[in-house]
Amino acid sequence: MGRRRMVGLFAALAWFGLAPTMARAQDSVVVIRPDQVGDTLSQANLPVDVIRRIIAIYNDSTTTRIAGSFALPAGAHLEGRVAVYRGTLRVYGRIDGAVTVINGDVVVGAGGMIRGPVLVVGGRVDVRRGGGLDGEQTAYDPLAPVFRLPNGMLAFRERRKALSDLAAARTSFQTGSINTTLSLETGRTFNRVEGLPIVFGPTFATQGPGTVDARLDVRGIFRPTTDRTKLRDDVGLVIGADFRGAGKRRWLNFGGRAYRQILPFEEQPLSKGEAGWSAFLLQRDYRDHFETRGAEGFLAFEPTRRFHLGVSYRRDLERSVPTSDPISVFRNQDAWRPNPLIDDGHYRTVKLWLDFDNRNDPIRPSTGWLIRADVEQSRSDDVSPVSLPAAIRAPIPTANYRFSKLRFDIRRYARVDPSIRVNLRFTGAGWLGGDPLPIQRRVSLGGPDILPGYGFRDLNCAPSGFVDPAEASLCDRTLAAQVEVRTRLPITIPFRIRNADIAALQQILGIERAELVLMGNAGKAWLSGEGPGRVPNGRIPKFGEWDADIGVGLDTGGLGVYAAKSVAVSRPLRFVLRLQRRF
Amino acid sequence: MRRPLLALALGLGLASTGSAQSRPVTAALALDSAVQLKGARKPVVLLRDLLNDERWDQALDNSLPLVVAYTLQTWRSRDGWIDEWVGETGWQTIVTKEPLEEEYTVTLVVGNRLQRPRRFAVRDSAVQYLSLPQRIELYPQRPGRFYYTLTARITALSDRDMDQLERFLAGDPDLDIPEPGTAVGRGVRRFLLRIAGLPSQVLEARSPKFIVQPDE
Repeated sequence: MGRRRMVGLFAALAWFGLAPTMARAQDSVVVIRPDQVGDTLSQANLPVDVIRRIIAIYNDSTTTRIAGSFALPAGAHLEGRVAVYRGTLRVYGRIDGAVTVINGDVVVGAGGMIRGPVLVVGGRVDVRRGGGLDGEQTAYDPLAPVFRLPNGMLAFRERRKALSDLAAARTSFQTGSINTTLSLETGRTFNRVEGLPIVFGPTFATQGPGTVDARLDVRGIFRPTTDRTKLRDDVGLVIGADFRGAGKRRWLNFGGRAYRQILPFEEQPLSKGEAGWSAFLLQRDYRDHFETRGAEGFLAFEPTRRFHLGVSYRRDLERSVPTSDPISVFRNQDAWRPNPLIDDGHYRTVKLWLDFDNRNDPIRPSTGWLIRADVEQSRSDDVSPVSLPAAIRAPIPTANYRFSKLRFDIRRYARVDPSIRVNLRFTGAGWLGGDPLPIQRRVSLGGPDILPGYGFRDLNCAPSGFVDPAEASLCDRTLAAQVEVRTRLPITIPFRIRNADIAALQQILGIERAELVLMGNAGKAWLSGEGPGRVPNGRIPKFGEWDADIGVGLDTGGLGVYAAKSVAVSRPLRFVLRLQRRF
Repeated sequence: MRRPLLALALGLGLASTGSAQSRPVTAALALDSAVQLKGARKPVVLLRDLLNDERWDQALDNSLPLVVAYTLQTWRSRDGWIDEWVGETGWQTIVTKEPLEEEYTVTLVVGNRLQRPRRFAVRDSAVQYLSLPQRIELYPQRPGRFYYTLTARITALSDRDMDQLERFLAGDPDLDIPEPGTAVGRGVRRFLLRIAGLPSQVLEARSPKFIVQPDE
């Protein structure tokens, strides 16, 4: 049927009030109920046999198939099986036979009649006054996961893969009450020690007994980058058991794990994803790594949904690992920055942590608090210390070596008015007591995250004349405060751009959604204790002694460009590209 | 004299007819006429001329579904001092067009819940429905001077998005609407949409202030 004829038919139907329109004459306002479930389509799964049945009915060669809305006018008569896909079937005439509607409704209007069973999936049956239905009615609210093939037949729609699963293969099956998932995926980062690790293995999950959920993960980690020194294994392992229980909310969580894996020293100056992209594209790995082998047990509580606290005990061997030579897109001929040596040894560590997060959005928050803190106490009886200048660290005992470390990160997100937001962050880490910290627990500042006006680890407490190509973090303590003011740029173009190229450029630049970011950062990294160049243990450097920078940036909603300049000391203007919000 | 006036009138008439064919989409935020307890008022959103705007109409003609993502914020005014953010809610309207049948479908997604789609065989019916005021069932519960702000982001979906939307409308329960994924994923997706030259527009509006009285 030609388009004009179709329009003509619909116009005629509309003239007689029979058009398949869902607009109600009484509509004068659309009511949005943000907190009410109301008249929504359920997204629960349909029984598989119902899906098979409707596909079979639709694809049957004896079925009259209709794709889209259809109105059977008064006086018209249809015989036999009728199936409609994605549309409303309006009956003002007569149908003698079974009717199946998939992801649509059946409306039997005045004078209309259906003699036969009616099956509706993803819709409802509406028999209006004067209409009739002589047969069994069956209606399922959930939409049918089916789609139409080019030949007009219906087929089952497989579940869509999430974006993060595109580089992963995963399959699940159920055996009794145990659900097993086999997975093969990347480690979702890239670094100069492992390259792009491949993670594989099964997960077993079960609900019960009672109100306890259990989960067992077995993960092998394959490192495709060869380590010529043979100091690290090509395969890692993590086996973890996790139990959640105590009521519907599962506020108690305990478990344990055994592992042999590569970990970063610190989670800064870039996030895991950003550090991976930086290493893969530019051969700049902003993190350092070490290998850890051991076991851990933990107990965690969740008094409220937004507040977690827990305790863990682990015993592991921490070892230095060398830099491998994974490929990078640019600068592939350059040498990677060496991975620093650590103070190898067996460590026993008790850790307490808390986490409070009431932000409105974990990715782009605009209001709320985030508070994270942990304190750990470690000891070792067989540490093999790296030799460091006395100006940095006095010799540490190789037996009965003890230390403790604190980390915290407090963030406040606030809206000043509808267009201006202010974000504050106060963070710190470092030595709390006992012997001096091992290399793998030491800290520094400088780089894209906390002090972007400074170079990578500009503030790492290395004494003058100390040459370390690994640029390891050597400080005992750091403190930093950040503030940023965000406002949507008031740049709009008040007229329509007719030139398609310019309009496309405007869209590419994302002017409409860009946020202007004004930022100020201050931080101090120092060696703690008595002696020249050190800050006494019980003192925090005065704010006037802190290093600081100011900057400006453009955040286009995930991709941000920032320029920052140090104000405390002379440094060149630095530019930073971020793939996510700064904090 | 009459002839020039007639010509001018005809010209104006023609001009107005021409501009009526493509009017830019606008958004407004008003207060519901019904006054709630203690003077509170509900917000009413008015989106006008979505289908009369040339670029959105063209996008629909090109079989690209339109998504209008609304974000409504409630603010407590402090008159000259920093205003207090009270809350936020969001919903989406998805408009699609069946190219062969000239049938329009309008779907509301409120809090990730898909409302039953509405289908219109006649364009004017769709235009009329899309121009209806949208009353949001919320209002501040405590005393103070309040106002609402609205951000309406209009985008046309890419082929991939459209495929996903097709799946969603066809019953794929896994699809997240809107904007699933990480910040990087969203950024890449938005960037690709822009590279594809698809239009994107943000409209903003603010309601008048109203006062919620304290308890007697």
